[in-house]
Amino acid sequence: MRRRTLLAGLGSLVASGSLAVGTGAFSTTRAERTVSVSVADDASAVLKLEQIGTGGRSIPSGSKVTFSFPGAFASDDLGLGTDSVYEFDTDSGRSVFGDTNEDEQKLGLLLIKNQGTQKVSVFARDESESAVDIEMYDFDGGKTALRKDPATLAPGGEVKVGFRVRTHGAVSGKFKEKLTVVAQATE
Amino acid sequence: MQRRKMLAALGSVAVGGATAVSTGAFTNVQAQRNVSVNVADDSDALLAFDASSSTNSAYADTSENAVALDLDGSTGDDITSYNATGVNTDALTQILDIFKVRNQGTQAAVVYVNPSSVPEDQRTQTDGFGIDPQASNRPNGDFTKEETVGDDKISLTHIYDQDFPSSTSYYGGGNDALEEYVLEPGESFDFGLYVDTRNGDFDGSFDMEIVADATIVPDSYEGEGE
Repeated sequence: MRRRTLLAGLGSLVASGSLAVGTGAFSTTRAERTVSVSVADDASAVLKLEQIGTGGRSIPSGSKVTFSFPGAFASDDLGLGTDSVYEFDTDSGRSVFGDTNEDEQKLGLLLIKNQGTQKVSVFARDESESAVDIEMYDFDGGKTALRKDPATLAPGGEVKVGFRVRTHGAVSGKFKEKLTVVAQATE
Repeated sequence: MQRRKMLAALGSVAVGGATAVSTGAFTNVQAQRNVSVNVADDSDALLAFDASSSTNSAYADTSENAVALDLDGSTGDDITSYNATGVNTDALTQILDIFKVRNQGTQAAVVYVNPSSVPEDQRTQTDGFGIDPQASNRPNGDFTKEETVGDDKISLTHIYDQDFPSSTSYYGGGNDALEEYVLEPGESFDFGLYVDTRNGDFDGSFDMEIVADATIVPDSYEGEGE
C-alpha cells in the first residue's frame, strides 16, 4: 500500500514536471540544411531530351536541343507548303522503314526519357500564337499527338517522338516557334 | 530516450524547489548541475526531417546525420542510375516530397524557411536562376491553388517576403497566412523544391535555414482547416 502510494507520487511529480518544463517542447528550432543544385544539358537532365539523327532537323545546339523544318541544311528557298499537314518521323536523309539496325535506332526526331523518380505524363505545348501549329507525336504509339493524350513514362521509361506541323493560313516566311515539353507526375 | 527525458524533468523540478524554499542569505552560490543533451539524427529530432517514406527521397542525401538536398546527382542514388546530372536547363522543375518535416515536439509551431537564408541571386523572383522551398500535403490552413501539382503547395519562404514571418502578405496575409505553416505535435508536411532555370543556370550549393517557431503560432489558430 505504501509502496503504491510512493509510485503514484513519483508519477504525478513527473507529470507536473513535464507540464512546467516541457521535456519535448521547444520554442524555436533553426536547422541549416545544404542544397546543392546542378543544371544539366538536355541530354543528361532529369527529363532527358535527346535529339536523334544528323540531318539538321533536330540539332543538339549547346545545352538545348532545337529543331528546324524542313532542316538546317536545306536551301533557303525550300519550305513547307501552306495549308498543309506535314509529319516528320525522322531527320532528313533517313528512311522511315529503316534499312539497317543503325537506321532503326535513328527513327524519331527526339527521345524523351524520364530520368526522375516518379511516373510522369509527357506532353508538348506550342507556345507561339502564329498560323503555324506544331505538335509532338508518339512515334511508336500510332502517332498519337502528345497533347490531350500524353505519353506515360515510368522512371527510366522513354518515348521517341516525331513532329507534326500544320500550316493552315500561313504565308511564306520564317516562323520562330516555341514548344514547351511538360512532364507531370501522375500521382 | 523516454527514461532520459523523465530524469531531466525530475532534475529541474528539484532545482526549482530549492530556489523557492531557500531561507538563508548568501552572496554567491555556484552550483553545477548536469545537463544532458541528446542530439538525434534528423529523422528522430524534435523537428524531424524524414526521407524514409517520401516519393522523391532520391533527392535527399541521408548518408550524414543532417539531411542534404542533392539535385546534382553527386550521391549514388536513383538520379545517377539514369545518368541524370542535374535539373533541366530553360525549364521549371518542381520536386515535391523530398522529405517529410514533422513536429515531434509537444507544442504547435510555425515551420518555414528563413527567406534571407536563400542567397539573393538564387531567388525565383529575380531575373536569373531561382530556387524556392515548397511545402505540400499540409495539414493546416485553408489556402488552395488548384491548377498546380500539389494543390496546397506553398512557398516556405512566403515567396521571398523578407519581412516574413513578422509580417505576411500572401496566402490571406496576417494570421491567416501564418496558419498555413502550422504543424501541431505529430503533424508533418512534405518538403520540396521549385527550381526555375528559364532565365539562368546555377551550379553549386548553399545552406537553407529551416525554422520551427512555437512562439509565433497565432492566437486565432484553432486547429485543422482554420
